Amino acid sequence: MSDQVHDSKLDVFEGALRAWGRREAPTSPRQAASMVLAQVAAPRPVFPVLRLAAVVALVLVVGLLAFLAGPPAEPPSAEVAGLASQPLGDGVVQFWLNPETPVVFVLSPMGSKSGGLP
Amino acid sequence: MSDDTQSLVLHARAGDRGAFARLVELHWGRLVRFARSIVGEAEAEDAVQEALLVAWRKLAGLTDLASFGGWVGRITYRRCLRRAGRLRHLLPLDVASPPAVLPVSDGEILIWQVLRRLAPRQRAVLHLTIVEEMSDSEIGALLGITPASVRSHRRRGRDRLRQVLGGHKS
Repeated sequence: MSDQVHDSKLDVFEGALRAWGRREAPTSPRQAASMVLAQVAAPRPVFPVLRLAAVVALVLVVGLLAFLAGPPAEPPSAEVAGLASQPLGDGVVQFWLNPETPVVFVLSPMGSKSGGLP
Repeated sequence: MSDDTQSLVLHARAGDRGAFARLVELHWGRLVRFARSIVGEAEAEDAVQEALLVAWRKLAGLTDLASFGGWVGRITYRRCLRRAGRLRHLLPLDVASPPAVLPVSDGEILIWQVLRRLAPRQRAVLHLTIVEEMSDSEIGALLGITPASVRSHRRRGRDRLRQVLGGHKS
């Protein structure tokens, strides 16, 4: 008896649900299509630009790394090698800015002839 | 209709926004009705819009062009389940707590107030059964469950409805 009462309530409810569920959407299909399209990304010219940007960035990074690594080491020229092996005279100070560039100071008393390479 | 949909899907997959707009027009009403039964009036259109944007992004992965309707319905269902999960935590206590006895009369039934006391899956199955009049195998295909699970959700949904409508302890 009780279940029959509940089932009749259920039948009434399902009938109401059917009517409620079949109501039209508040937004019309045409309006909805416009709203959805406004949020859809434009078709793809972006992609080749991004790809190009990625290639340019890669080239820049490779170039930068090559620059930071410096030029390949070369043996010093014969002239510089000879200079390096030459014994230094008295009052001569020599140091190297880099393997190719010696700097030589000749120390001499005041008023004496100016120096030069020993 | 099916050929029309297939052709539209084919064009939309190639990036034709006009074709996708036409697909939205064709399926909008059905999807909003479905979503309304799972997440309620206030959330339904937003949920369907979200689902359609997901569909646009994933359209390339749809192999069976004729299955677009079911495919987008399934995406909508998943978005609605996600929203329903969030909404559940926002319900006021008097609505979230079980079972209040609601008056059921012909003109004055707060359908959503009753429906929201069911699990989202039960709402979905009841909607597809009662409103769309789909078979168990069609519902199962749409929701990604077996026909036996469809029957189980429907039976438990109706038990819960009896409980809510009449204070019946099942």
